Amino acid sequence: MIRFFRSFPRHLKSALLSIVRQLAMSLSSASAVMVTLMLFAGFLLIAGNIDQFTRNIEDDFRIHVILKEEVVDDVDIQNVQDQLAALDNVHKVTFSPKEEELEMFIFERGKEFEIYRGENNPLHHAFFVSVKNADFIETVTQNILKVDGIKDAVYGGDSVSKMIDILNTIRSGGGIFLILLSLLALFLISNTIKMTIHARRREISIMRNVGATNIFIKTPFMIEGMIIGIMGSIIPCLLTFFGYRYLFNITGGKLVTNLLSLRPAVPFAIQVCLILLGSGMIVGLLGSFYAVTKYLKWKR
Amino acid sequence: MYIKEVISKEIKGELIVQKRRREKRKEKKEGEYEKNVNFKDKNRVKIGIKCDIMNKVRSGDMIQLENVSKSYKNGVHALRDVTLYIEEGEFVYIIGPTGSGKSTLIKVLDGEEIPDQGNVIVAETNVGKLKHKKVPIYRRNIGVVFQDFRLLPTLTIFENIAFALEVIGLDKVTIRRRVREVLELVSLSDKAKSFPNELSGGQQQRATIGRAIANRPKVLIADEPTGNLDPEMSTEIMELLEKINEEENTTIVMVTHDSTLVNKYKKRTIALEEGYVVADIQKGGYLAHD
Repeated sequence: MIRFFRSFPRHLKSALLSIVRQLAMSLSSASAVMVTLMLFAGFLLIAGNIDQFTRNIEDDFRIHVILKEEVVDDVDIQNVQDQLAALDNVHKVTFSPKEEELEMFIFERGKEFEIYRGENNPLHHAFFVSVKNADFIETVTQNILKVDGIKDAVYGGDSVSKMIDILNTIRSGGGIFLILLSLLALFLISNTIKMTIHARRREISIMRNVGATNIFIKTPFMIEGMIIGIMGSIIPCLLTFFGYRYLFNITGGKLVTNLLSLRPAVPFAIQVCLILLGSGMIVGLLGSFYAVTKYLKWKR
Repeated sequence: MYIKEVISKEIKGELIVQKRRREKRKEKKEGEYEKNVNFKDKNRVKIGIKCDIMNKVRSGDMIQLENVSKSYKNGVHALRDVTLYIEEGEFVYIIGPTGSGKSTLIKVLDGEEIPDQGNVIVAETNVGKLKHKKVPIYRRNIGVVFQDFRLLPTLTIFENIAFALEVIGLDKVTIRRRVREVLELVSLSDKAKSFPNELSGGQQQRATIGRAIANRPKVLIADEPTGNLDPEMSTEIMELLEKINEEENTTIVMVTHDSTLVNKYKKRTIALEEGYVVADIQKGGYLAHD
């Protein structure tokens, strides 16, 4: 291990040298990495945002439970809250006192309702119940109506739940697609690197002839693969960051409605960039590792 | 004007004298250094595969082949029942016509091919039984001069020779010193920064020899080391090999076609034909084939 670290500068140097001396090959591998990573970046951006959309809609997707007029003291309210929380598939129960309800009402309907502030508040106390999974929203609503002291329970309706269904399908489909795409990227890149190394299999066998151990031979190739991976991920990273920021700015951070709001560029695009950089490095490393291992076995 | 010239000449002369002195001192130092560094003990890795046949290793034998046979997939019998003993410090020629199994013999000694039958023991290592990843470590004990040179095309001559020393983990200073020494020895000092494809066949040949002897191996196997050289250069190389043989006590196995050399420098000569050992003459001299 100590020897490995001592010879690391040497390996790094020889990796850099071989990239420079075979610049055309290195660039072609790097561009293969680049193309696949650009595809990858596009899908990451779309998938990340769809995830965000679904979350936004789901967050907004709560059951508004209005209590009866007579339920006013703390013990009764607590009692109802406990009963609601005990129902199946209920994620969170938030109490919303009637003063808050009025403020929301005013916000939605307009200032003329401000006169109801104080003693004249005609509204009732309420709860917001969010469910664990949007699919259960209907059954949960029905169950809530069975609880004592509840006047009404409403949710957005069928259209919203259909929307969530669609987004969920896209999300899981996108996940599978993403996995397939990364496998494809690995295959493509390792194949390109394999071609690069194929041209050098003689070199590898010569190194064994002079007494270089397999690890000694592999290390510079692996570093080289990593550097090629990094080289190939620079342009996709820049494109992702600046392109996404531009897109975010011209759309004002949302598509059509507030529900379809995009993720802000600063943490999200940078996260995607880091993923690109990391996967470029790992794929380059793995690709050249497999390729060299294959050609090490070429001759004894 | 005149005075100036005289003075400058004198200064130059003085400088030259100083430079010579410095060089002399340096040479002396390097000589001393060489005595101190013992490649053989320090950097050698022993990977002898101990097994029942190891008991049969005759002491003093550097290379031992017992009933070795090797045939290829295409049905060619390259070696048939070859038994050979080569002692430590011996200088042996292997001769024979094309296709007589000389190259296979070298491949078997080098660990590139595994014999179908029999044992190959070199420097107390059972070569045929080596694992794939141990083969390079075994090769540190032997230097091979390949007929096709096998220089790394992307490295300069200096780097090529240095590579053989880097892999055994020597430090930079020692490597640089030794490489310069070796380049001097094979008279390639002026080509140190050239790439292999910029050299002539003979120069590449000498570079290969330089690389093979750089880490002072116990055994030097040379496949036609004079094949691409003119007679004058051949003589030089032969003298170099003899010097290595005598000074370092390196066992040398040399495959050759060059009958003049074999007749001029008489050594033990082993003749192969169609995979059989047909002659093993201690006093040497080229055989006339009929």
